[in-house]
Amino acid sequence: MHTDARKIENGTTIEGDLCIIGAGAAGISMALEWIGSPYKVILLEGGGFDYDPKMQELFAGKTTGQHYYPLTSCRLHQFGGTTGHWAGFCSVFDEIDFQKRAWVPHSGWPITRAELDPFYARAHKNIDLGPYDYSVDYWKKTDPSMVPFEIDEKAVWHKIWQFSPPTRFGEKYRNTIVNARNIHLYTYANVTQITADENGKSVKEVTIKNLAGKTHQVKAKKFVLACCAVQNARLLLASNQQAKSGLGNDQDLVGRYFMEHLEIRSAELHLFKPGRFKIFQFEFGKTKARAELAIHPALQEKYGILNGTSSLERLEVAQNVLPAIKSWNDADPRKSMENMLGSFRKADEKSQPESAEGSSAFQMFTRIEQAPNPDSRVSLDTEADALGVPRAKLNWVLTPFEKRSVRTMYRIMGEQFGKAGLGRIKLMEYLQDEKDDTWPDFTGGGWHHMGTTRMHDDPKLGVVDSQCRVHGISNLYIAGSSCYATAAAPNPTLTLIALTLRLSDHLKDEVKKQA
Amino acid sequence: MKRRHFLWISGTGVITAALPFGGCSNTSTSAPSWVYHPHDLSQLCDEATIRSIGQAWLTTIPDENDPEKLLTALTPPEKPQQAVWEQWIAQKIHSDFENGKTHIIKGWVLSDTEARQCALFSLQSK
Repeated sequence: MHTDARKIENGTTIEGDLCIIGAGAAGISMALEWIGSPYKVILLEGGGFDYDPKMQELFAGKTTGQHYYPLTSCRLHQFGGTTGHWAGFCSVFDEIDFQKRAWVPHSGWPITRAELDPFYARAHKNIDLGPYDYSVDYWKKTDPSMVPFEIDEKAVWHKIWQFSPPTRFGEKYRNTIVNARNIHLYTYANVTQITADENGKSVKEVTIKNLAGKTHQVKAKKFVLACCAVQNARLLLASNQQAKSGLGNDQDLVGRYFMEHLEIRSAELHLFKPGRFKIFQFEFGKTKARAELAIHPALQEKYGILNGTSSLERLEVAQNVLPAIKSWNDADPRKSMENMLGSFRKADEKSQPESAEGSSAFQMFTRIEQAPNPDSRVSLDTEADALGVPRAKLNWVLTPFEKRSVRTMYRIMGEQFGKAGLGRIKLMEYLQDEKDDTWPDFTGGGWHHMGTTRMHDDPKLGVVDSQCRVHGISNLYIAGSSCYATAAAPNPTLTLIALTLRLSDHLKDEVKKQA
Repeated sequence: MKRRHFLWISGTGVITAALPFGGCSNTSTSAPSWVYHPHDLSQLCDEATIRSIGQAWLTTIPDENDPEKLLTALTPPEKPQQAVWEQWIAQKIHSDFENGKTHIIKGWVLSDTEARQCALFSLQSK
């Protein structure tokens, strides 16, 4: 069922069993799980079904620290959320990503990769991925031309990425959600306040507002916050009627540990023999899977570095592509997207088609986790949006650890390509001086926001527990990448859906027990 | 200084006359071309790059700014024939990569042995 919250009587009280705040990849995945159940689910979406500049503007906010994209451009404030413009890159986190690593401060999840595996497999269906198999062998069987480099896999291995078409949740699931009898979708229902009971131990209701001047209340037994990492933190911090520092923020952790994937061109791979290397190629909308080069966990530990991967693109083409941080520069995500795609087109036009024998020179592009860092954070600005909610302020902070990790990563890869007799790697200038901790102006992120309500079993060290429940609040849960304790290398969507499905199962168990 | 000339057929097919080391040492030093010819790297880099890598190596490791020392490091104990010598250098490069005996010189991740070859080349071509 669908209701436009602008069109119902002001001051309406909406009631249900489960209230999901946010209808993006996480919120919709959660709602889909509850279709046909005996429970009434309220799904709240701040925007409408289509792009609306006035709704998008509610996501505006200042950024400081490492230069970043305009916040308005990073997330789509509409039904389907940011899947409305994502590129569909998916891979699983590695086992090491969940482990406590002595050399990575604040690392370690209270869950393991094995616990998440069944949910990864289920999540594949939501985003139309192939089989839950990330082995090179599997993909080589489906396409024998996907031949990996003959390098020592105990040092540098081929990590498989799979690609969603990409699934646009707004298009794919709209009818399913709207037609579901027990799912009550409200659009133009921006949550502006989460109100806890007098003790602050459980959520009583949430307030929703819209630019039509309507204010409503939503009451439910359980609430799931699924608004994205910046907005989840913003909403908790702004919900400060009971606790001055915000809900779930007794330990001053909400909004801290903001993480992005550092995405940056880093090196050149020069091979002695050219080739087409299909295993590394990506064509939007066509490629089902490809590999990136990654460092074996044993070497990550040996050298004390972060986990990251490197993708390869023909150097001739890649050199002509404008870095994303420069092309994705408009507050309007549609314009930024056009700028970026325009840069891709120009690069293609400037380049010669690849010869039959292939290429021997490739740009190596890094995507790497950043170390969890309490100083990298989302906080509230003094300025409020049109609905009266303080705007988010992002201070993105990188450290020398990230730079040393990138440099070391390519040194390891350089040694392995040398050892294998395949070629040599040349680091870009900004990585050459070990004493230089600065980042060049083309340093970018993956538009991936993570970590602002990090998961930890100890309430002093995390905002949510291993079941994604906010510590100290009995009926408030968080779905999404804000729960990540560390960021790993892969794009976050697949993992956040897997975590959401896991949370959904947990909530179903909970309501059964309570019944 | 006794001068000997060698031919270096580079990866790009250019024939280069190789000269002995002048102005670097009081000792008369010369080396067969395969010693200061980084075979693999020359497939990827031109002479100017190899020279600049060599110069950078000498700046990084000033103690090796001595052709005699470099030549010693690049010469097997028994001074075998060319093929064996070349094989010995190739194996040493492989071993460097395997054992982390590498440096980042001018951005290139290089085996110390091939970096020394570049250094020797930069000295001989001064």
